[in-house]
Amino acid sequence: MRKQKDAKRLAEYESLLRAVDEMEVPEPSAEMGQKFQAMLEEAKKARFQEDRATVRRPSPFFNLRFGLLPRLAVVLSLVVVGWFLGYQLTPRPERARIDLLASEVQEMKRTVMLAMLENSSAAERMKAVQYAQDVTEPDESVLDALARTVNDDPNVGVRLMAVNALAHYAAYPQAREALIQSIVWQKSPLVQLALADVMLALNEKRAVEPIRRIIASPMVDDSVRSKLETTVRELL
Amino acid sequence: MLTRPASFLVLAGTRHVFSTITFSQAFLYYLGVDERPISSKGYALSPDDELMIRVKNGDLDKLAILYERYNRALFGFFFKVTLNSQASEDLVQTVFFKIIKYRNQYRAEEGSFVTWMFRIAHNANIDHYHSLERSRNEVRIDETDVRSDEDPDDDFLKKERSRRIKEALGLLTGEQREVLVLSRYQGLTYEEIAEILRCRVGTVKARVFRATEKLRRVYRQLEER
Repeated sequence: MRKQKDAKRLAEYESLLRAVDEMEVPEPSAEMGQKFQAMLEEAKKARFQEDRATVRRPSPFFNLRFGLLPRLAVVLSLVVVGWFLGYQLTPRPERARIDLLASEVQEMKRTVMLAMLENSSAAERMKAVQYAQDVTEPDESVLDALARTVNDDPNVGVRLMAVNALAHYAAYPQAREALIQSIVWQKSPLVQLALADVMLALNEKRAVEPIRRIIASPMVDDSVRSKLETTVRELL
Repeated sequence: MLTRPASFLVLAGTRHVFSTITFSQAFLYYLGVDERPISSKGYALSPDDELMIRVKNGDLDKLAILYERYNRALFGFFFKVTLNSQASEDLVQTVFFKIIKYRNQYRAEEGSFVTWMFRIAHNANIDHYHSLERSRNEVRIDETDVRSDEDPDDDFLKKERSRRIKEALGLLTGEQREVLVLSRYQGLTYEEIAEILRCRVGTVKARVFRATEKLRRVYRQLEER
């Protein structure tokens, strides 16, 4: 009984759904197709204009007026300029303190050097000459002390070191002068030769006269004389 | 091997023994909709999908081919849902306008072109009903005269039946008409209909069954009138 009922219902469904499938549907009007064509043409035109706009405007990144790249460049340069100005204008107390300390150290070295040159030990005096070379801006007292050492120090080694130290400061006229005057003063052949070498290196023509005076002296060793003669020749 | 109506009766008959099988399930089996391919996902692209990809990539002329293929089907779908030819023409136009506008959102890997097109159609339907509600208009059934060259008697019976089924459909809700028409559309699986309507497959099946049942009752009432 129920089966029959179900079968009847099924038949009804089938017939209804078929009727829905076969339901008469009118033909769409020609206008619908025309409207679609018009819409498609419109869309194609819009797309064409879109494409042209894209070609004309390469990339917003590289746009010179409003692009990201120029903006980034401006921002970066502002940061750099700001940092530079800030660095220049900000007072830096630590920097001033370092400068002060450096000058104090120089001053101390100078004082220590002058004191050590008076020391009885040749080794200490050598150290003092070494210090004298480390002074960046030697004042008159340092150059004077070195000149005195070249002329008067009892130790040849110390004197030789002092010659080198004065040659190191050859840019100072006082140092040059001290070296030239020291030539006739020297008794040690080693120091004489060292001085001759320094004069040659500095191409100091004013040294010719004092060197000739040494050559003329009968006390001078032959080998030293020939070396000095060579120096004179080269200087001239 | 049982024929399909016979299988239906067997299944419908056993529903008292196996309570899990309902009449509606047996009916849906009968319809054979479940035997269609489960989904277009993972299948090779159809020619329509390929055409739509070309439209998406800017070759808008290819849309004319898709229009030629689907404008009647869409018009038929809308006509059976709205029962109004002018509204149906406007809705077909709306669907193709939206296909152009949202062509970049088409993803062939997420579903077939037909599913995507019907989802747009479904949304257009919803908008259409909302606008009808706003203007407080009833669904107006077209009395379009369809010409035919067939036998006048046959023609009369056919027309009468068509008129009555149209009237019966008009008494269903828009949602019921839509799900019924979609389920009758060749090539759409229940999964795809569920995707179009954004609901679960079970819900689609239940709605189809309820709509068919209501159509049966309404049609019978019209016959008895």
